Amino acid sequence: MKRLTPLLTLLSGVVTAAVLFTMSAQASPPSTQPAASSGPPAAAPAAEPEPEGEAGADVAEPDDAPARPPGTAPPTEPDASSAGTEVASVEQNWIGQLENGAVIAITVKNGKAEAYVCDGRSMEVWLSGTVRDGKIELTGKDAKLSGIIRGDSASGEMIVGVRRWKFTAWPEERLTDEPNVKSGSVTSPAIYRATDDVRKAGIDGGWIFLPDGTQIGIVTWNGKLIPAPPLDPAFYSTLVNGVTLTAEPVVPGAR
Amino acid sequence: MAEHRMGSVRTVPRRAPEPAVEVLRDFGSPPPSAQRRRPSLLVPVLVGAGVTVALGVYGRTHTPTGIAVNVAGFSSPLTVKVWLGSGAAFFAVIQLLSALSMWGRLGGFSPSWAGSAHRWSGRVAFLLTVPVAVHCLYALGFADYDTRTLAHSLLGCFFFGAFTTKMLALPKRGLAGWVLPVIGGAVFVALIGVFLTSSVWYFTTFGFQL
Repeated sequence: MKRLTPLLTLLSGVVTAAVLFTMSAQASPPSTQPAASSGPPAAAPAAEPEPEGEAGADVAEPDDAPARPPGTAPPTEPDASSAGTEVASVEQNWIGQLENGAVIAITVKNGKAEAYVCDGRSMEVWLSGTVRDGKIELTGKDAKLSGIIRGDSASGEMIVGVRRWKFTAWPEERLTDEPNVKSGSVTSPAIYRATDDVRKAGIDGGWIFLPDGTQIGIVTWNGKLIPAPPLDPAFYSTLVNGVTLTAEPVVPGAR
Repeated sequence: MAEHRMGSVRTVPRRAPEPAVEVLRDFGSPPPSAQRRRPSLLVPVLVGAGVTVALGVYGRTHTPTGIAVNVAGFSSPLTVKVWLGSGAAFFAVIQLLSALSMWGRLGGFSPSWAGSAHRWSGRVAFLLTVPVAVHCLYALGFADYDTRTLAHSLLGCFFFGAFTTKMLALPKRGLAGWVLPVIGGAVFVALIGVFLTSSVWYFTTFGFQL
């Protein structure tokens, strides 16, 4: 028997590794590289994460909403599909798009709001402010975003420096296909940012968790913007150039 | 095998230095110590090398996902690995001490339980490294961004190969006296190197945290 025990040790290690590998493989979302693999920078809607290799109808569906060209979804247009449903609460995540194709996420809580705009490649803006009486007022570094919430879509414009983009956003609830995805009324955070520790080291990162399970994000590395690898949904961390970045949800009122 | 069943009272490794009298045992045949066939280490070494190379190739070719399953409840995935690795290093030190004790290199301190302590601390240390290695390989891959990550990757792959060699060599009887200490020493050095380039680096870079 003694002769076998070293082999048993090896075997148990192999089995443990196999189990962990299997669990890891299942933990990985099907499409985790929206930003890194998006198309050419010039294409306006290219920032919209195209879930490559996903033929499933369930993932294609929620993608439709933000992919809608902003021009065709003016704030006044009542969305037919939502006519019957009650107007979603303002206090949740709003996900939408800028006219340049960048993704915008706004998290509203107790009248306060945090927003992150990013195209997954070269543009990102952090904003914070308020959402009161249907009016969105957010400011960021050299940036200002204002808009209104009408029905269940939010729209307005963001001004960064001398540039100006229109945006339209929808409640995350509506963009999610299955209503039972969420547990109760608790919305899971949509915006993540590198933790203070990471940012002290001079690295920043922002991520938006899109309703279809994909992510889009940007990491600031040595002052340069690069597409962010997706966050590990279990740890909210990812690896950039060999350094593990940990992120935390951006919640209004937390800072 | 029979003599090993009495292992509970053994205080020296089963491959104790060959008694000098053995040479004189039988003058009729060629000197046994010279002629007795040493068991071949070819298979353990080859398998170990194969494991090392396979891990490295997998880590290099497989696209790191940045994602792996959470293994324990720490503040971040990194600290999980850092602490598992530290645990492994702790048991590795016990490995070293118990091995020294088994081979009678700790003065007279060679308790009967040194062998058990050596085996069990080794098992625990090895099993602690497995989740860490899985996360490294699956989520991060073989990396060479800088000297530290390169050394860590190389040593990590080497560690599992060396450990495999050690495990496969253990059951072989009649190995030369230096074989197991050398392989075990290689395993120990590799693990400590991995520990220095990961956990210690982490603690010194990000501070000591759970």
